[in-house]
Amino acid sequence: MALTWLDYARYADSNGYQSDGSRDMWAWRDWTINAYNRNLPFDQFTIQQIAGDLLPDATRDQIIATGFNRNHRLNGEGGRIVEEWFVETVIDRVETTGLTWLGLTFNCCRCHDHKYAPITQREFYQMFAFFNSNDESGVLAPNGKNGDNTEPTISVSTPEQDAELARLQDQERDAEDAANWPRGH
Amino acid sequence: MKNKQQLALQDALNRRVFRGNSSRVMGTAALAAMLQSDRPVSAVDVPQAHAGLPGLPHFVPQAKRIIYLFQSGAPSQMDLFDPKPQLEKHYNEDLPDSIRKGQRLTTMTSGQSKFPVAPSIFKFAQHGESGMWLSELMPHMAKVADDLCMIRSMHTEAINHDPAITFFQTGNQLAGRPSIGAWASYGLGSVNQDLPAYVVLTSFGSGRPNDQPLYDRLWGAGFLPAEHQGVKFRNIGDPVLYLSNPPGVDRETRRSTLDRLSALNSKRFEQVGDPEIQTRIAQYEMAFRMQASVPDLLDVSDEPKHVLEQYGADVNRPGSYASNCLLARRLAERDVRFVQLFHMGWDHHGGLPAALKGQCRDTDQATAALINDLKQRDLLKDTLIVWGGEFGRTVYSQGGLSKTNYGRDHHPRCFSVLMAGAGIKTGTTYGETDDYGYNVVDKPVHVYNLNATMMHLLGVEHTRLTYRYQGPDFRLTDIHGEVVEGVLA
Repeated sequence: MALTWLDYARYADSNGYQSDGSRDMWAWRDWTINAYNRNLPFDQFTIQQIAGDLLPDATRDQIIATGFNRNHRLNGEGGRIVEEWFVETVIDRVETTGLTWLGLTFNCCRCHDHKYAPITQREFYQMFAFFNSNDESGVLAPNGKNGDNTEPTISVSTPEQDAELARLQDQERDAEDAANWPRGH
Repeated sequence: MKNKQQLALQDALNRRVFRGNSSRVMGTAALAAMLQSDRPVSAVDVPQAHAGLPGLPHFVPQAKRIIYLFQSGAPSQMDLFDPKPQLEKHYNEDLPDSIRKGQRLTTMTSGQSKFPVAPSIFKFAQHGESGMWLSELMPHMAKVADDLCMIRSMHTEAINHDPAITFFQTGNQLAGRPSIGAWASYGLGSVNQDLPAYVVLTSFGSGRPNDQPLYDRLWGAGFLPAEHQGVKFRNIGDPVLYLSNPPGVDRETRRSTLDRLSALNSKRFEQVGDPEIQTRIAQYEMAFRMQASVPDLLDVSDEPKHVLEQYGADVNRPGSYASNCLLARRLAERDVRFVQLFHMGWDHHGGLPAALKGQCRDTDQATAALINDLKQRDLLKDTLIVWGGEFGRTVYSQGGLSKTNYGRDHHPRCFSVLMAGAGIKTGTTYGETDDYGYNVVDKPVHVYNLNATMMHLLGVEHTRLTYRYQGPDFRLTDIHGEVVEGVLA
């Protein structure tokens, strides 16, 4: 069931331009599959994907859900004009949100009012304004060419890794305490 | 009974049907229409290659096929086709604002403090009865000048490679739409049952061996059925893999395996109605037929020595541009509708003179040989040849300028494309650029117009070859494009 949603959400673990270098988006994929499996209500499914990061005290899971809006392509081509691709990225989000949640194509109205289309050009840019408020560059970071993710990113450690991390942090603190213990005590 | 079963499966129609052709999920009528599909779904009918749409071609075509020699990376128009001798006196001067007119630049040169005018160091001369101007780097093309039409007034909107090539290939800068060859295959179908309608051949340039790459979506089918996507032959090793059956499997075994597989796939199609399953069946069948047709296509031992020599020594190196040109002729002889070569390595931001020499060594002789070879076989009259890249290059130097060396950045406002063959007004130089080779001043030809013209020569009215996807009727030329009458015979 989740597969259809992954397609609509343009999910891919790659950047989509030129030779399509890799990145990691699978955490969002896993969130989506889990959302279906635990029967997350559609209103929550919607809120968390569109703006999970803006919820009060957002959990890591809710922030990952907002990865929906990071599934767009990223241009890493030499010579790309950053402002141009920032705008394309915003448009990508408008079009994808329109197609997935409203069941309407938001493509024609990018340039003109269409006699059959229900969305006007003005409404397109009203929607554009929501996604235009974000400070992401819209282009691939230099490290992204090597398969790393482009900022902003989030670390997605497993519960086991979290436990191990906590254990190591304790160990580090104990070692520091021991090192700082006054000599000759 | 069958109909009832189909109706029960309406909910199972997958996303491709739903998104690809929404009329097919509107209810019983649409499902009935689907069942009336002229495509065979039963295993006993071996599917034939797509025969084209009813009503196409729209009129008698001039060209039965196209050989599109795409020069990826963007060749420098002012070093090859569009001489500007008067620029000598402006050497190293800053490009005037009156010429640049606020043109946006790529981030590779937008930070330069100076835009020094770099006149070409290559000599130009007029050739043929028509007196067409060509650079000294193209001595072989010069000999076929009277077979060429040169458009000097091409222009585009994209300023970087990915969007620019995607624009040429699909009529849109963003990925996702069908490529021109896929449109031709979809609209006109295949003449040859044993080879794909759209074949792609790629080669590396010696001028800039590590130039930016190509990617398979450039010849993709977008939202058209996937059987129309270009089939790329590899340029290293075997051009087509697994042509021979593994030990112990003969052709009859392969045939019976495919029959069983086809029966299973057809059954699945009846269950879920995904047209991509039909594509899968058709592609397996095409692969089976290619096992027989491709060895014959690739075996050039029947080519006389004098023909091979025309193409130059590179023809003996599989995967080279010259070898691909010869293969293009052999594909044309076999009536493959759309053959597209991509030669990489034209992106000369620095060290242009040396790199351009390498690129011209790769392509000049073989392109001219292809034209002559087709002509000798009486195939040029119904084969359209197009030679060109995705944009032009700047008159100003990127980085340092000296009397012997310079580089040029991407330039969308003007560039040159060559055409030859079917329906083309030969010996013509069409359009004009300003004294700096920066802006078009006469008869501009947009990418949409070139694509409309190519489709016109194939007998397709570009506004009438459309495909409904997510609501709108899409076409190669979007809502634009006019046939360039001035280049037509």
